[in-house]
Formats: sequence, C-alpha cells, structure tokens
Amino acid sequence: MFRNNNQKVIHKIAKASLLANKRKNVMMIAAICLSAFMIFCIFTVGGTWFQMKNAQDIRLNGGQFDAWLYGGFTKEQKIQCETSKNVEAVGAAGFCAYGEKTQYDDTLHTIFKWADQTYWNKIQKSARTTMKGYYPEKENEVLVTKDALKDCGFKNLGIGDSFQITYVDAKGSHTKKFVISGLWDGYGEKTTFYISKAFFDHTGYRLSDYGRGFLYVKFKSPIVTGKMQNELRQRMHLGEKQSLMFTGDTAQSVEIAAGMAGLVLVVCFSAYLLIYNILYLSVSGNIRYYGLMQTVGMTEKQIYQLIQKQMVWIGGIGIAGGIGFGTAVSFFLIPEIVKTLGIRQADIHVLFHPMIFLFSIFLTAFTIYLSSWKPAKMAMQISPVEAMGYRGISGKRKLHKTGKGNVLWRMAKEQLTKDKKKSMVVILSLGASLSVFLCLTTLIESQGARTIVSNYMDADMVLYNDTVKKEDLKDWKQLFDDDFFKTIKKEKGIKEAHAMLSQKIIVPWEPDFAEIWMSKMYDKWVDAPYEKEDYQKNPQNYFSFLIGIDEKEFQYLNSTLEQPVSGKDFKAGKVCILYRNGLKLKDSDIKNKKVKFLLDQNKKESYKLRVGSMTDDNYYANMGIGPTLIASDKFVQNIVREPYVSKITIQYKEEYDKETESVLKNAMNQSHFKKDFSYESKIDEVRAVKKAQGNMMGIGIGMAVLLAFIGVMNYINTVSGNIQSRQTEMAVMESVGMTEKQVKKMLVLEGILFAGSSVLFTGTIGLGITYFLYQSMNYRQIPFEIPVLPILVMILLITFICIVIPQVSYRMICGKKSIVERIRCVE
Amino acid sequence: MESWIVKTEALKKYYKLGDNTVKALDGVNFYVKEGEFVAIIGKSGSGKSTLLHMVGGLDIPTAGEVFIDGKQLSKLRKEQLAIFRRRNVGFIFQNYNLVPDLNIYENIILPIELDGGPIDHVFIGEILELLKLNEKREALPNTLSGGQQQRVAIARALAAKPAIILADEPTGNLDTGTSHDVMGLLKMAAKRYQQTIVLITHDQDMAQLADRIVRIEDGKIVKGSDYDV
Repeated sequence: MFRNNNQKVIHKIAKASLLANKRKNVMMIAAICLSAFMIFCIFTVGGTWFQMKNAQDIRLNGGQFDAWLYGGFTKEQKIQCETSKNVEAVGAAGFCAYGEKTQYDDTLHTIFKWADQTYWNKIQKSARTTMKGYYPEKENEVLVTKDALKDCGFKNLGIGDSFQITYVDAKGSHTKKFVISGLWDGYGEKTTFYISKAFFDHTGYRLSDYGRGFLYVKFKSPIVTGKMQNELRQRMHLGEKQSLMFTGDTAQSVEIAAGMAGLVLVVCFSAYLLIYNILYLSVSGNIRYYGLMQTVGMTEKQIYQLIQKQMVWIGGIGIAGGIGFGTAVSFFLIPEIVKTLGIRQADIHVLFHPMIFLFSIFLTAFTIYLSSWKPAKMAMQISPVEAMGYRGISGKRKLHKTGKGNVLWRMAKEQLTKDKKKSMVVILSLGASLSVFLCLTTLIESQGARTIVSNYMDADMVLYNDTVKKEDLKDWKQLFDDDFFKTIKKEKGIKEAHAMLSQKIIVPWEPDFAEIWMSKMYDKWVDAPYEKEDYQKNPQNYFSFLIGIDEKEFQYLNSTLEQPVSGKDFKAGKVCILYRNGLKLKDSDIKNKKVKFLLDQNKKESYKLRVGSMTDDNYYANMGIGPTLIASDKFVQNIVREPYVSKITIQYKEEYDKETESVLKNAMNQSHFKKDFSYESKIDEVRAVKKAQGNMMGIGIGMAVLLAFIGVMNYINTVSGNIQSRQTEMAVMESVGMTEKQVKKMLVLEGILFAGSSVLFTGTIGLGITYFLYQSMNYRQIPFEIPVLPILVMILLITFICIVIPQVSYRMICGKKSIVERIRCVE
Repeated sequence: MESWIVKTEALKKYYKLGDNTVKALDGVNFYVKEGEFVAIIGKSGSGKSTLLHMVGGLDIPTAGEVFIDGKQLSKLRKEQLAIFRRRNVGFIFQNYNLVPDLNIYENIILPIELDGGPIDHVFIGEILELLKLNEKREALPNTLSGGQQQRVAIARALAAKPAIILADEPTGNLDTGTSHDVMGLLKMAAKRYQQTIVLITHDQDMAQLADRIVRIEDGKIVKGSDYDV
C-alpha cells in the first residue's frame, strides 16, 4: 500500500488553526509555561532548600557525618567501620585535656582535642569557613579559634605567636607554652584547641578510653536505611559503655526521602491538573471545529495528528518559556530578593543541576501528552452531527429530584455536583496546594530558630558562676552578690529570676541508697571498677551537690515529674528530688529512701532527706560522682550560712528583649568577677541557629507560595472555562428574569462552596498527611503545632479568590455583551 | 383610545459590521393590543428577532422607545428590567434554551423562584397537564425530544402568569406535526390565561393562526404596522 502523503495539509490546517485561535492558544501556552515554570522552580528551590538544610545540619553538628561512636573505640572497631561497604569515611578524634587557667582567666571552657586526617580534612572540613596555617604536627603546636583564645583571655594572638596555659590531663595539672600553628573559624564547637598526635600520646589517655576517643562515620549514600544502621552496629561489636549514635537526618533518612517524594508528587499532580484543565477546556471548546473537519473528510487519525501537532508547537513554546522564566527567577530574582532581605550573597547557592532541566521538560511534556490524550480521544470519537450540536454538557444523568430551599443555593450546589470529576479536580488542586502550604508552614515553623532553641523554663538568659565548678571550695566565689541582685531587681524588663543555690556535699556509704547509686554510676559513666572499700574509707573523694531551688522553680520542676512530690514536704525540707544522671534506676531503688549527707565544710553534722522522685533534666547536672539532690532553697539556707548561687535563670517580660539583655551583660562586665561569669542567651542561640540556617526559611516560604499559586491558577482557569461554557445558560436565566445581582450571588455561593470544600479537604486529609510528614521528619521531637495565623490568612485569601475570580470572569466574559448576543453564541 | 400593551416608537437598532452599518431595525412603530395574537413574519435577517428582543428588553435600542403596559423600558435600570421581565414577559426561544442542570419542573418554576414569590403548584400542575408534561417532571432537558423541550419552554413562559408571551420561532426546530401541536397548545394556553402573544415565524402556515400578521423587511414594517395611526 502506498502511503498517502497528507501530512502537508495537516500541517497547514494545524498552523491555520493555531493562528486563528490566537487568544485561546496564548492562554494554553501561558498555562504550559506556568506549569513548566513551577515544576522547574519547585525542583530548583526545593533542591536549594534541602541543600541549605544539609548545610544547616553540618553547621549545627560541626561536621558532615551520619553517625558517631561515643565511649572510646578500639583499632579493630575502626577497621571494621572503614571496611564496611556502606561507609565512605571514618574520622577519629580524641579529647585529652581541658584548660584550667591562664594568666588572664581561671575559669576556662576550652578543651584539647586531637583529630586524625580523615576527620580534619573530610568530616570537619565542611563546617569550616576559614583556615589559615596548618594542623599541629609538633607536640607544642596548637590550632585555635578566636573564640577559644578569647575564652582563655588572650587577645590579638596570631599564627606563630605563643601562649602559656595550665591544663589538666590524665596525669594531672601541667603548665605549658604552646605555639599557634593555625587559626580556623566556622561552625560547631569552637572553644577547642586542636593539638598534635604527639601531644595526645603524652596526656596519658588512649583513644579506647571511655569518654576520650570518638569515631565519626560518613556513609556513602545520603539515605541510610535501618538495615544499614544495624549492620554497622553489628560489625562494631559495641561494648557496654559504647554507644553508636546517628544524627537526626541520618536516622530518619528513609522517612525524609519518602516525605520529599510525597511533596514532589503533589507538585507534579498540581501541575498536571493545571495543564489538563486548560487543555480539556480548549479541546472540548473546539469540538465543533473537529466535527466540521470530519464532515469535510478528515479521518480520526488525522484529527489526532492535528491535535498532536498543535500540542507539540504549543508545548514547545510553553516549556521553553517556562524554563527560561524559571531560570531567571531562580538564579536572578530569588538571590536578589534574599539579598534585599539582608542575607549575605555568599550564603546563597542556588542549586543548578542539568537533571532538573531535563526532568522539568520531560515531566511537562508527559503531562501535556496525558492531558491532551482524553480530549483528543473525545474529538476523534464524536460524530460530525454530535459535534455540531456539542455544548459541553455532561448528559449522563436522566433524572434529577426537584430541590428544596433557595434556588440560588441549589444552583450553586448543582455546579459543584453536576460534574463531580471536574469539581473534584478543582477542589483537589486547591486543597492540595492549601495542604502543601499547611505542611510547609508547619515544617518551616518547627524548623524556625526560635522553635529549635527552647530552654529550661523557657529562660531568656542563664547566668553561670563558673567558680563553683572548681573542686576546691576555697576557689569558690559569691559572684551573684547583693549588688548583682539589686541590679536584677531594678531592671524593669525582667519578669522573673530564679537563683540556684549549690552546696558541695558528701554522701557517705550505706547499703540502701548510696551503694546502689555508686555501683550504677560506675557501670554507666566511669571507666574504672567501683571500689566499695575506697568509697567507705574516703567518701570525700566521692562528693556531689545539694541544690536549692525557689518555690516557683519547684512548681515547674514538679510539673515535669512523672511522680510529683508533696509541695509541703519539699518546702519543709523533708523531701528532695534526685537528678538521675542517665542511670538505670528503678523506682524501688530510690523511692522513699533516706539519703544521709554531710556538708563539705562541716563534716561533723549530718542531714537526711527522703528521696521523693527523680528528674532527668540535665539543667540540674553537676560535677561529682555522688548523687545530686534538689531541695528547697529555704532548707539549703537553713543548713548553710551563705550558700553559693551557681546559676540564675532569667525570664524577660518580653521574649528576646535586647535592651534587658544588654543591661545584664553590662552588670556582668562591670562586676569585679567579670571573667568568672558565663552565660547562655536565647537571643545569641537564636542568632547562631539563624546564621546556620542561612535563608532556608525564605526559600521554604517561597516554595509554599508557589504551590498556592498553582492551586489558584487551576481554580482561575477552571472557573473561567466554566463560566465561558455556561454563558449561554446564564444568559437564558437572565432572559427569564434572573437579575445581575442574583447571578453574582450565585457565583459567590459557588465560590464559597469550592473554598469550603477545599478547606474541608485540607482540614482532614491534608492535615493527616501533614501530621504524618511532620512526624516522619520530626527528629528533634518538636511538638506538632499548626501555625494558625498564616493558615488563617491563607484560608481567607483562598476564600476571597474563590469568590472574586468567578465575578471577574463573569464580568470579563459576559460583561459587555447583551443577553441576546450571549444566547446567540450557540445558535 | 385603544389600550396598547406593546408599543414602540421610531425604534432603531444599528450594528457595526466591519466598515458597514447594519440597520437591523430602522424606525419601527409597532403596536400590540392586550390579548392579541400577533405574528411577525419576514425573511432571515429582516430584523424580526431584533424587534422581539427589543420588546422583551433583552437588547438595548440605538434610538427610539419601547413601552410595555405603559412602562418605558429605557427608564428602567438593568436590575429593574430583569425583575420587570420575569413578572411581565415570558420568552420562548427556537432553541428552547432550558437550563441543562435543572429538571423540567425546576426549569418551569425558575422565573417564580427568582422572583422569590410563592409557587402556585395547582396552576403549575394545570400547565403540566395541559402541555402533557406531567410524567417528565423530574427529567433533565437533554433527555427530552425537541417537541417536549419546546413544551417545557412554553410552560416556563406561562408559569409566572406574564401578560405577554414573546415566541421566537418556537417551531423552527420541530417537524410539521409537532409544530402544529405546539402552536395549538400555545394558543390555547394564552387564551385560557388571557395572555398577549407576539410570535416570530417565517412559516406562513403558522402565521395564519394569529389574529394579525406583521411583515418586516430590511428593518422596516411593510405590512400590518400602522394599525390605527
């Protein structure tokens, strides 16, 4: 058979039809353009968001690793780790000393750490922003940060300079001169002196010692499954005190990947709906034209080819435009916007990947193919006569019960139920974007710096007396003296302040409580065997602390306890709360047992407190190996003449009140004991987290808004198409006496029904999905909370749009034409 | 003096079509007495439908006035015009123009419902009976034949008990037998409810059923116009 060369005429007709329906085609190109743009933007912006989230995690963790081993490690374990097929890199580090004093300061926080080449060059590298000099090689060399130097009281030291410091290692206290070999800055623990292997070996510690050696593991794949985690754990044959911990992202990587895939699917679905809607409307609007073509002899195949050809041209222009526009927005507009928001340009790295280009093109093209298939089939199958009378009415139903109630409400409802599939598409699209908005804002809110940073009792500032960390009571100083308290009382911005009293105590051996505590303590935290006889003979070496808290703090603490204690007994000094310190203590081990203790400065008199309950809050963690007891401040003041205040927890009247904070900082700076203070400020922490996050929030919000835009566009084109196809019907109703006001009211009611259904969808299914996604990504255990304000604004906005769009479409489509003209559209 | 229920004065309707001006109506004076059945005949494009639309307040004239039952339509605002229409005018179109989403009964009572008035179910029942639509009350328009749809359109036009019924080629899409049935029903109903009918047709046979025939050509009435002028 010879092939009939009719492609030329098809080509000609396709071209003519494209040119003749300019307005319609421009609409279609715009829809495809928008979809391609959205898919491209979502991938680029989403990719950038995840990249930035990754950067945030690296910065918060202080390096790029998936797991770390705590509790020392053996050579064999390291080898096992390195030879695992899933592992890319294994870095080792060892803590071997801490700074005791320098000529400028005697309350230091700086530790000495050694890191192997893998750790320094691979794991930690991504958390560094600057590095000058080199990693220490000689025993007296040290690599520092400005923060570590500042903590020790050194100013203006640089590479090549030297300083003297007293440090404590396994062998005791030493004073030594160090030369600075390098200076780094970046994220993570910065009050650290990195030292050479030679120095580490001299400290008397080994990497296998408990609390000294650490392994940092980076996996090859970004998704680390539970199976991979278990495999590594099994290979390493962990000892009792060792624990292998996975970073939040790694532990949940499968869930996070699933969540991401879900998000991408929703986006693709929304884009699909957008194109489908507009193509469907366009082709079904052209049905009479295709019928006409059939009457003049065009075959089904030729009609399909005609539609296909037009789609290729329209799709090509639309996709090219969309991706071009997307590129401009992603690479020029977003960085510009972010820059105007005050974020340094260096922080913005928009993800560029050729796969995103290809994938966006493929996805949009596939969507066009899918969404044009059904209308094309419709055009092919319709008979010429049917086509001539085609009015876009779905006529599957035969009967319809006579409705009751207001006629406008009934007709509005009818619009929603008439073509259930179409209504579902619109509701689903609006609901999907609203749901994604809900999901993203909930996730973003939970990732907000202020949510991540939450302190004990929601304190704005915690002031520490560093001298109470010293072993010798003679070195303790009363930093928070009367003058200081006067300053706090005077400051109007402070809502409340709670002083914590600390008293060093000795709990002598006895079989009922002290014995149980000490044996469990050694099991868990001490790398040496428990020597009962030594404890019995020298209980002063096994000191601990008695902590005094005020009534309000007690009430707070008591409310967090599984088994609260009697407030009366606590106040009367009969009962205390024990800090568990991570020990495996059962209720029966401690409940109602009496702890006997002596004061460090007066060992003759002994006191007894009944243990009422236990707390796990490490806010009460203290030095010493004995049990830390929490009692009422009145009780502590009764037995100790002038108890030391170890920390003050302050809440401001207004959260994040910078003025009050600066008053407090000034008070500390003006004190004689300036160097012995330290503090934790919520404002500072929020700032640090914000810095670590870069512009993650902005990008996330941008993404949510983009999605909402897709939903709204879907609604706009469906509704305008709907009104376009209903203009005759509306003109008929107007001819029999429907006033313009009534038409508008009917459209408003329709809008309200659409908006209401979408909100209902979001409130049920959307909320469920959001909750699931949230919990699967919620490794920080942040409580689920819906950001009410943005959601409320979004709902109002959607309702507003749903009401306004039909009005505007009606005005645009029907506004200028008389009833007769509109009725004639089909005649 | 005669009581004119419909009266037009020097009614003009001009359209722009490219560079040309089409004079659809060119100074028409048209009068209809209360209870009268008037047929307007003319060729396609002669302006008969335009005249009907002007009389029904569906379109706005370029010049001239339309009075219905003494009310000057140009003095009514759009909103008032719609209300006036649903209370005083019943339309029957060639294409039936039923609302596809509403069933037969809902279509018929639509003008009354839009007006918010009470529905005289007995009266509607009577119309349904008269037009033989009783069994189709809950059917949707697209399931009915052309003749049935046109009967529904007639029922709708009668439902609000309007003073005037304007019918634009109501039998244009129907076969001869059905056409006669429909016309018979229309005439009978109008008579029973004392309504005035203005019918447009190009079918001479149908026109013969009317009390008076008006011929229109090129936008001007050429026969049966100046009734008493």
